[in-house]
Amino acid sequence: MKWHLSNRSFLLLIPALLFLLMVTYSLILAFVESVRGPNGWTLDFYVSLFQERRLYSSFIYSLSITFFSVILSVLIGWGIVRSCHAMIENSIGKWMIWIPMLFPHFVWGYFVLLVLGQSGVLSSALFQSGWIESRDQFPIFVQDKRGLGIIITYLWKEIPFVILMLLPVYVQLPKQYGEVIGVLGGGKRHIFGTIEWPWVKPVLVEILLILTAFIFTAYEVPALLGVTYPQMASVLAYDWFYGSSLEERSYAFALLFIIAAIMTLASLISFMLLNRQRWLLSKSQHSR
Amino acid sequence: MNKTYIDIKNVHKSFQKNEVFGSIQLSLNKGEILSLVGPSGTGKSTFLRCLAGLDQFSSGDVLIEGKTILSKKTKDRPIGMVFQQPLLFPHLTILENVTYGLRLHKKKKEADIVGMKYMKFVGLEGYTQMYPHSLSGGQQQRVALIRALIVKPKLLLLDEPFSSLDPDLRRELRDGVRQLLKKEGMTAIFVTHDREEAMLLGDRVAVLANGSLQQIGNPQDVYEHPYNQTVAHFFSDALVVDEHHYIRNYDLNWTDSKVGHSTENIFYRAEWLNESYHYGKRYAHVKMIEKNRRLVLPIDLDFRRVAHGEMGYIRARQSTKCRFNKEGKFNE
Amino acid sequence: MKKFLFYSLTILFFLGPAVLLLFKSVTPVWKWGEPFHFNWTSRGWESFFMDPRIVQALSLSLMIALVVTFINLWIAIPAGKALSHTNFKGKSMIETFLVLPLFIPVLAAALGLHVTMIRLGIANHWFGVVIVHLVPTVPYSIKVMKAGYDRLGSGMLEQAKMLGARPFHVFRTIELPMLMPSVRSVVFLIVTISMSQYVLTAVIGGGNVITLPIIYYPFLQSVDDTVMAAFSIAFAVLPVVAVLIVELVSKWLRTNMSFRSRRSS
Repeated sequence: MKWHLSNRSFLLLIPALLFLLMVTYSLILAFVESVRGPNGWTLDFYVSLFQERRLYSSFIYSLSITFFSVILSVLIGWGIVRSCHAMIENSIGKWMIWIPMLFPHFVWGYFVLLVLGQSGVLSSALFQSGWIESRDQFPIFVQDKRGLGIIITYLWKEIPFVILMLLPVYVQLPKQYGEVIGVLGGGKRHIFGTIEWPWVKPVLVEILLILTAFIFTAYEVPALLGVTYPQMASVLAYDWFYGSSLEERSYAFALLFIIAAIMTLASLISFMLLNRQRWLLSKSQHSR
Repeated sequence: MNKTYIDIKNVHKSFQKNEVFGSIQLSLNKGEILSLVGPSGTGKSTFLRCLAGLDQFSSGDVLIEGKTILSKKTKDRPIGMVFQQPLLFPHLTILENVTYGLRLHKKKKEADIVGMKYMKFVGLEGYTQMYPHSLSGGQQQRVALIRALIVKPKLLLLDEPFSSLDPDLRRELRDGVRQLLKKEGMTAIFVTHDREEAMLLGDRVAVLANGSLQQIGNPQDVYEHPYNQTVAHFFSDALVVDEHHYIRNYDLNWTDSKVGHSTENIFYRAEWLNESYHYGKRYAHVKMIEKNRRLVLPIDLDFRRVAHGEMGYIRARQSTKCRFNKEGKFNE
Repeated sequence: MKKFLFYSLTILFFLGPAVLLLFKSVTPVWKWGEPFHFNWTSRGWESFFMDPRIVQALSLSLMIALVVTFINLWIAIPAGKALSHTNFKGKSMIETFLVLPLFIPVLAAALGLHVTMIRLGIANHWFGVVIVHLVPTVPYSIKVMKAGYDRLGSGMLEQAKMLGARPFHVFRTIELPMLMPSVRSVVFLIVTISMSQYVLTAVIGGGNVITLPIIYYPFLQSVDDTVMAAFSIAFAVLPVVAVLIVELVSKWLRTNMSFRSRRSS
């Protein structure tokens, strides 16, 4: 019986496993490309990659942009869901939140350029109403060295994503446990610590990982709204990939493989730490 | 007479112009258990939720030791509650669940010692480090009970705590629960829709139906002397003769034909539906034709077998007819 | 108060951009510093629909998106069922691994795949693009379908089996209709994601597979905001169109299939 059951699950999972196989295979190939030199296997590319000055500046740049974009979008999105979830669910507001999700990131980047650029709509409007006298007086938001335009675009796109990921968690938060805590003499602080945080934490970690991996390595937005130096890691990898020398191509593979390895490790560790609690929470017997 | 410990004065609750219950007046002595019994959907749960502060009364007042509690928030009321479902925190161990309320004010070590003591009371000392999902429903409800008891509330509310359990477990649990509540000297209101449970657990029973308290008293009195038709139908086993009179089921009898003096006896035409046996006694399940109402009445064990659908009579002596009376106790 | 704040902010930040883009697509280019004028023009949409290259790219994008969606459903429906309704050793591990592709750089997978595809000869082919679009989409589909099966519960399916229905019959008459909300979400989500891929398509397609983003992206710095706005709006409308297409096809399939089974019995 047991054998039969797991056999059936296995059959149902075959397409998904094939997909996993393909992804793993592609990562292995990326690794192979990064260690294959003209004279057989070599780790030279990794060694010389770390001697590239461009890499360090681009890494720090990518890290800070990713950090601010991820932390701010999670905090703002979470704050909105916490205070408004009852209102958002089943309202027209939920559909409005979907709107930015519909547009690709590069379209949103274009929109930010259109509105916040030095020759953009906002700057023009300020000029017409006499607030500024020339377009130079409008602050540089896009294509600036600090990557403000990139961060703005990501915030604008990812806050709705955070809201829509967290909304179902908050709608299904077991309210009865709050009552139990209340009659035992616990206050809001305890309800947060015992109920809200354990239920929200796994999803929050998932969102953090998705956004970090995405923003750190996405190409479109920084290529559009960034400057030539410093460059985000993904732009650098892309340039290397299409660069003239074979060596640079291997750099691209090495760089992306390192990022992939770090992210895989980080996600596996956090999931291992969270899985047991997640499993316990799924055994909850509150009526839904 | 003891000074009243808990005084519920004229509380009333309406929800969007619909009255859930009107004007409930109750008082409890220290250490007393009151069973609040009534058909489903009569606002018993709402009444408890209002007491606990999870919902608000529309009017009225509640005093504990002479002081009003309605102005306090849920967490500051000296009231504990056990819900229909155990609602144990799934990610905390059993001991962490039990000591949850204590841990709000006490150190872990102290709380754990007290927690272990209570876990022994309910025979679960071997389960401290387990998680709720590995316990049976009955065990979980016992944990929920001591989790509420351990903070020593002045009033404990139990909202049909056995309703999610199967009948055998319920029977096993309720004796233990009463013993534990008595041992702790707990003042409690126990809500149920099961008459037997109400009688077994409560020092007194209160019947709540149609949005108001119909009768309150010790279980035997309420059973034998219902104030009105509603109580008679719901709590007593009685045949309601008319709006003023009733006959207790144990004074009823089954006959195949009208035998005996009609001045001394009353006959109701009835259809035999089925029979059953309980604790060594035999009962006939019959349908009164006139009122189209089912009744269960005792019959002799050696009475002949009757087929389903056979017609006959329910017989009662005139002298057993009683009058609904708030003063109760005397027959006509 | 809270409601007012929430709605004014969502209207300003979420609805506002879409309205502004829509508006820009039917008004002439605003020069900086000149007063905004609101003369109607259909030039933006005309140049969008009149360009045969764009129309071709549009249909190719739609086709790729729909094939990606179809493969997604083929993977996610059985996987969602297995993860929701069956229990086996290592389930939580497999679940973790199945969301893992979301946490790795897609570009890494894409460059890796590119090497293989060159060997297999499907680089620079639209099917290669379909394959690479699976990487950022399948994990989402599996999550959505698993949640769908969680809501469905296994009781209903067991009931149908007790009545003697064959598995495929159960799937067609009960599972699929009850899972339709989840399927709709998958279609919508996957088409949106597939439509937003520039770099993946560019790497694998190698300039031969011309989808909408491939045309759009190089023009991002262009000054013709009217055409760009029309183009931008098109990206948001396409997922809706795709959902409608899938809806119509599934309706047609359902009525036709039930007609056939009635005839045969």
